[in-house]
Amino acid sequence: MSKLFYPYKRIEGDLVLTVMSVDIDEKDPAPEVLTAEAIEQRQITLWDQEKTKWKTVRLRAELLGPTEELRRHPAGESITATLIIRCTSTWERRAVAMQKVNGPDAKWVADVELQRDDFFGTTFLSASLSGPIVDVNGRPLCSSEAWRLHFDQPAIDSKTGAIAVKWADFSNDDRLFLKEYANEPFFADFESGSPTLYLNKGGVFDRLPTLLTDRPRKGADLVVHNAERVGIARAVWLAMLHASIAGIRKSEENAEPDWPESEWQTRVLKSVLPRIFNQEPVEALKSAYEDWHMGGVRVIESRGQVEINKRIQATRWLKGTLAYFRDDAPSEVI
Amino acid sequence: MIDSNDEATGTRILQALKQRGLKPKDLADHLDVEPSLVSHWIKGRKSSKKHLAKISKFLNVDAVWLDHGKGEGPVPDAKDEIERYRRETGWRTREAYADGARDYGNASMETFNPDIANMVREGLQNILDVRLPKEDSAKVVFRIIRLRGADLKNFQEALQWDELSKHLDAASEIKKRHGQLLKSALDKFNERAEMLLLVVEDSGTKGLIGPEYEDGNFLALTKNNLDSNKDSKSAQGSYGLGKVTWWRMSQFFVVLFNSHLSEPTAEGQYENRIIGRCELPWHEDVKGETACAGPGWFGRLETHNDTEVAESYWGNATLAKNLHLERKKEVGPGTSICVVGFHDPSSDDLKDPRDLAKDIETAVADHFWPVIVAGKLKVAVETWEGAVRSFQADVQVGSHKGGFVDAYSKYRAHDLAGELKKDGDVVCREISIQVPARTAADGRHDALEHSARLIVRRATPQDLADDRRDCLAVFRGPGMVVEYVSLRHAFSGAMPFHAVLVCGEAAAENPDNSTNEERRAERFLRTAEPAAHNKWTMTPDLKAHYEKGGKKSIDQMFQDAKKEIGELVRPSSSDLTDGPNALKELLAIGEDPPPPVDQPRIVKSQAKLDENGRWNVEARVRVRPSEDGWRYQPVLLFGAESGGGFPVAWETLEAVSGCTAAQNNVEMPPGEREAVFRGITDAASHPIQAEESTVMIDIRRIRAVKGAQS
Amino acid sequence: MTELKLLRQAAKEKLHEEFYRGEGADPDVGDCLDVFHRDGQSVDFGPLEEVINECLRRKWPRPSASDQWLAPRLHASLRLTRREASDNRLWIFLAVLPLRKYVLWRFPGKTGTADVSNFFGSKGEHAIARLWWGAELTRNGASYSATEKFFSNTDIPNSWLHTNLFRHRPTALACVKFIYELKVEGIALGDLHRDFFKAFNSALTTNLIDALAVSMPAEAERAHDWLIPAADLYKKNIGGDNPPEGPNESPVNPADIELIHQLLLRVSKKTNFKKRDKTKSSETEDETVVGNLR
Repeated sequence: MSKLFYPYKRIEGDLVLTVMSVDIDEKDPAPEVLTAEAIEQRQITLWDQEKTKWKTVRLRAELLGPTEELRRHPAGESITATLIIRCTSTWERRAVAMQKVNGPDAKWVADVELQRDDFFGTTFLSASLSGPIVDVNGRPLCSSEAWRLHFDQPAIDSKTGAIAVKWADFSNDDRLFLKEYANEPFFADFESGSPTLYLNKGGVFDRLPTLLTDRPRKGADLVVHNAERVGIARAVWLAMLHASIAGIRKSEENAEPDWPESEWQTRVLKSVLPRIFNQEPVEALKSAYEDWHMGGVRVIESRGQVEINKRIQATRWLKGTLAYFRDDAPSEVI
Repeated sequence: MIDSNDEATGTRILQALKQRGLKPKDLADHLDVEPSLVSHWIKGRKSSKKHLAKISKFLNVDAVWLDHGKGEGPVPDAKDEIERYRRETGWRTREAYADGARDYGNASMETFNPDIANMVREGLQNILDVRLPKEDSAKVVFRIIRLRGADLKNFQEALQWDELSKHLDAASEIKKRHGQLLKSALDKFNERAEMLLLVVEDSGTKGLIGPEYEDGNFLALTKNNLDSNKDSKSAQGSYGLGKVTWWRMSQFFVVLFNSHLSEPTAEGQYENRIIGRCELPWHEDVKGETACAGPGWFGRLETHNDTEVAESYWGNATLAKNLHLERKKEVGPGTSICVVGFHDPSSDDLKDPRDLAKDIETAVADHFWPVIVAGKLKVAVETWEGAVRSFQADVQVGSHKGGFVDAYSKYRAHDLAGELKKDGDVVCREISIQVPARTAADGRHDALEHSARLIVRRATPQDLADDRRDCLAVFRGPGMVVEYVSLRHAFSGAMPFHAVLVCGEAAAENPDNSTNEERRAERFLRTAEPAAHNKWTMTPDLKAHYEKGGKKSIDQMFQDAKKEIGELVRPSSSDLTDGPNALKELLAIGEDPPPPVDQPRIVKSQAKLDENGRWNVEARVRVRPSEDGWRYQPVLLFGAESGGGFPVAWETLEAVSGCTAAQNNVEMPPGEREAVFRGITDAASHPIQAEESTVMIDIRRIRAVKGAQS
Repeated sequence: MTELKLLRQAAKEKLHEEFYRGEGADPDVGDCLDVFHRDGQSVDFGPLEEVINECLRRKWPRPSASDQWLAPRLHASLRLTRREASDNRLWIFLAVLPLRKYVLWRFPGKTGTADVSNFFGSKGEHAIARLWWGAELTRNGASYSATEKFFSNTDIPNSWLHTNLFRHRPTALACVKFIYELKVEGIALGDLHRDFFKAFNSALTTNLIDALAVSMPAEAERAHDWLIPAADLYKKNIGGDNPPEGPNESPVNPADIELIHQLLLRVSKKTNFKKRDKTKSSETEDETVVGNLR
């Protein structure tokens, strides 16, 4: 796929949006939310606030544009900046005009107040410049990278890069749905909030922690541990892949399929589909959609298995296991 | 009686006279006094106070300077100095060995992989070794200077390039490795008429002290091969090999030095000691009369022991300036090294100065963050276009090696945690090394136990991309990382971390006051470092100077450290508040770029709206050439705010090169790697008039076409 | 009190064809239920049941004709925050358990078997969620008048409800007004609609609606009272023939709607409306041209 072509001249320079301050429930300035790390990753975590009952978050955002280029652009002085807030879960789409800051720099600021009741999961905050081209107002000229506001735990942990993994006693858990899987060692939940893999530590599975937790292992212990975790990971990957393919959207019959609305599903597809179909991501998305609707998921089922095995390095662990049987010697911690 | 101030004033008068190329008699004539009086002034036997105003005017210096040594001294007359150095300096090569042995290049130059990282490692380490004990920190500036046009010409004149290039040309004819490298460098240089210099200016160091022909830093760095003249027991460069990297980084194997000495020579000289050296293979001069052994020197032409030599040239600030080796007064003692025709020998690409500067910065941070964090070394990089500085930055180790820097800084500030509970927590543990007894006469000692410090930090999400994450960095007194030991995947399901093992004198409670044990451990580990200083292992010296068991103790130390790290980074297995990392690591979705696709893809495209409201597009498609041909459909899509866009029809679609086009299909014959097609859209098929939408170009229904084309 | 609950997607595995044909008793999906709490309290959805019962009592030319009446009343009786409504399990619960009868009546399916997506699908496909979200996106402060127009023809929600542009309230309101009036001689609504939809969707790649009309609730504090309905909510507000009142929030500035309306006009003039073979009928169940609904 080529880049986008516009029927008019855009602004090529960088547009940088920065969140300058975050206040939760007005009286409490929350500097700890805006860490250096948060700023670098453009992510603001609101969900693990000690005050779990907060209602309102106030943000101040600052936007810096390419001063020289803006001065030379035909739309010049008439260019305005808009701060846009979108939440894919609650379908919020809000916009506020940003205020130009007097001075030599192309700089704008805006304050927004967001009610927690209106948002769920991850919300995106970005800014766009627009202006008149010929006689038409509001032509988009340039957009910033988006910031992520995590109102809830993000689907994919930024440190491990994986969905959440939690222990639970399935038969005695507040999450009643787990009861139904009390006879299963694990259950991958993609529904209630962020996707989570639950591991059963109750009932007949009370020794599952011994098998799966992180500790030094060797010999048979290691071999069984690897076999079990690879088995679980394989099943969860397949489930994630299916859920994500089901999330592919099409706005209209002749239109191109679009990535799922949920970010984690999009990430799963972007990372797996190009390898399954040996195609560029957009092309692979189309192939997946066709395979799903017309081909009975044949390609995805067969090649997906192979790709997932590669992803979890199944062969590597299996080789370790086989070596154990061959040498009958306890191997070192892998 | 001699007044000490009068004596000092006299010395300054003489200095100013010399600078102007004048004799005492000239001053006497000008002032209309007896020449003997001037002689008395100079020797401090009589006061010149009454005449100072006139003297200062005549010598064009500040009267206050003459009187007290403060303020501006004599500004050298550039024209005069140029004339002098032209007359007095030149190149001399060593005559071939009498036995006819031919050295086709300095053997020690092959010892290292020549690249920027090694150059920085060796170079900085040598500089740290000659750090002045009183100084808080050494400062080093890496300056990359691009010379073109007049700047290049001035430099070549100062270096007496015409003379040097005779040797370069002759040596480049030698059909051996160095000769050939030289040939291609000269060809490139003649073609581009531009040259890079790398000037490495250190300060807070001893400078090239020592006499011309006897042992000392000067002789060690500029004259002898394989001579390490380092007196500090903890010096890292024990092998003297480090210095050859400078020559290897020169396309012409030419390196120049200028030094301000921390202690004057016996003759009282200390400023602007300039010498140059080239490391050429054996060659014959142009006429084929004299054979040259290879190495050559640039400096004052003298005769020493009946041999024509070039030796240190002192006190000519103008020559220093013209060789880009000028040392500002405030910089203090130290050495400037100029690598002539600087390049990165590990790369075929001609790198831009800014990229080279970046490479240097990265290498400095990678290996020297401990000494920089400890405040004992400051490094800056600069790029220059001739005499104009175009970029300057201090090396900030925090932004390169954040995890390690944070760990070491917290350790130094005693900001330690008991366990690794949160991201960024740092803990410290002791690891002991069994140092075997030293048997060598100097510093003989019994076996002893040394406590090294193991620092482990729990990584933060920010460190995810750090390629040195999950590594153990080890260093000793000088604060240079000797080795990074990768422990990635060493502990199943471990939390990500950075670990540092601080050994020898670096592990001292008070670094300026180390214990006997620490100093002995330091020496032991230094002995265990091979020439490249990149690990601790069995070395010939270790075998010769210590009792058995040295290698085993080192291995044991690493094993203990690894075990301890393992204990720290493994979450306790009874902790079921969070799921096992062993599973999370298998479920990591990752953001790796998709693999390269074998199919054709668009590499370049352009689109223009014409006056009939149609899009005119041209796209370049590339594919790895194969036995099959390719067929595909070019598509133009109108963008959509929701969803993936709407394809429209072509009015015309034609091949430009590398393909044929028919019925909306483009076909590339087998073996073709690139095709260009052009298309005009059918406006009637647009969902909306073209000026209201974005468009993209794509290729669809890509199919391999088997067999040969007709 | 009828307590609002959540039902997991997993319930799907327990349902057989009889369920979708409307046969048999309530399915046994108790294992898949989760609690729904607001501030630690459960929530009563009694008023919603009354509205649905009234809807099923009334006579309609077709079930789809009830959407227009039901959507505002459903939204006004099932009072949720968007955060709460974004949980799919809530809609699955309503459709599979208490409101199953309605879902089967409204979407009987071509062969007498209802489609799984009407019970388990996304916001736009789900039989109950589509009405609530449609009303939420198209209400103007307390007024549901645009909501009624929006649901006057199923083509309209089917095409527009899930789009990004509809989440921008001034655009949603302007679109409803415009589509409702859209009429081009000789083209069936379905086709007309598809052409215009494509054109507008494309046009928004070069027209930034967020900049043309800002969209931000004026009040900092939302009408939280709305969530706690009066005890006689059904009688007071919903049961009657007049459309109910929505949350007491400021309406969108009419000037903003007008700006987007101008954009819609410009786009419609530049849209490539395609004349199609009239003998091919539209696939949608409503053949009616919009104008007739006025």
